Amino acid sequence: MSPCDDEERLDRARKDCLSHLDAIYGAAFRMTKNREDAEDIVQETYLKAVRSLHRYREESGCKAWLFKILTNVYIDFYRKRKQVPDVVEFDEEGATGIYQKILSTFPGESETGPLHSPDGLDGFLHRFMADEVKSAIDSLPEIFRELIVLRDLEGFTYQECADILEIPIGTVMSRLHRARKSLQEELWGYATDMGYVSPAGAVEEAGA
Amino acid sequence: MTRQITCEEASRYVYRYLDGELEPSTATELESHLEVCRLCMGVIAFERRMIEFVQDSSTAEIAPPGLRDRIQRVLEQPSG
Repeated sequence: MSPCDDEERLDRARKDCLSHLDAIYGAAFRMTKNREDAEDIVQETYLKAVRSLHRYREESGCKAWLFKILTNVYIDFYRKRKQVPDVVEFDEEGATGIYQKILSTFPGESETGPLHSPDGLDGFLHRFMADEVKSAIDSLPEIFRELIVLRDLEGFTYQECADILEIPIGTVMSRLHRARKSLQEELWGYATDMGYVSPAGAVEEAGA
Repeated sequence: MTRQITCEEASRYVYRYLDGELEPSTATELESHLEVCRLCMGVIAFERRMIEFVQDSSTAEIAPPGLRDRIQRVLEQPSG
């Protein structure tokens, strides 16, 4: 490859990296829950990226590559502070989700009927503000939160998630399963606390 | 003739199916099952709605301008 081609390739790589800045910053903020720390981690991520930019291959996917660096920087960041992110052990049974609760709570929903009715699941979901959903995601253990972010919010494939987090693809699947079920339960718990649904299961009327 | 799968098997495939990660042949088997099993269809509809809800509720962060300036300067550094 001529030096000229090489320079063009680097230029493209720099532009690619910059185009993912908002996503990288968003993920860093979700990881640290702190804007100042998020900025530090993003800066370190890009410093590391630029040092290995000459090794960067376009076909491998710039965004996944940056997320992998970000994840490593984040782990180092907490190791240096001698804080361990909240890694938890969870039992095999784990969270079961809220499907059965939804069915038994909302008269409009049935196991054999259409699931989305204005006074059923959709009505329930519409009560949540974006901030409340964000809080529910933030309250998940780290190993669950990162998969909700990578798969559901950033759209990475299972293989990309496995590469970024350096875990087997089977672990991605089982953690993502538990992450989604746990998130549903967080939302349900929050809805119960806020009186969006009553503990007895009856739907609270809006404004009641 | 597509192999018949059970509800228990179907329940294990839900997320992989919704994520587009199920092998095409297994996805076809699952879809055949869904055509005749409204219980599993209900589960799929529910899980799909929940994932979409989380995605729709998530507002994208914008990197602060000061950070963007710093990152642009970082990217101008020579590589290697």
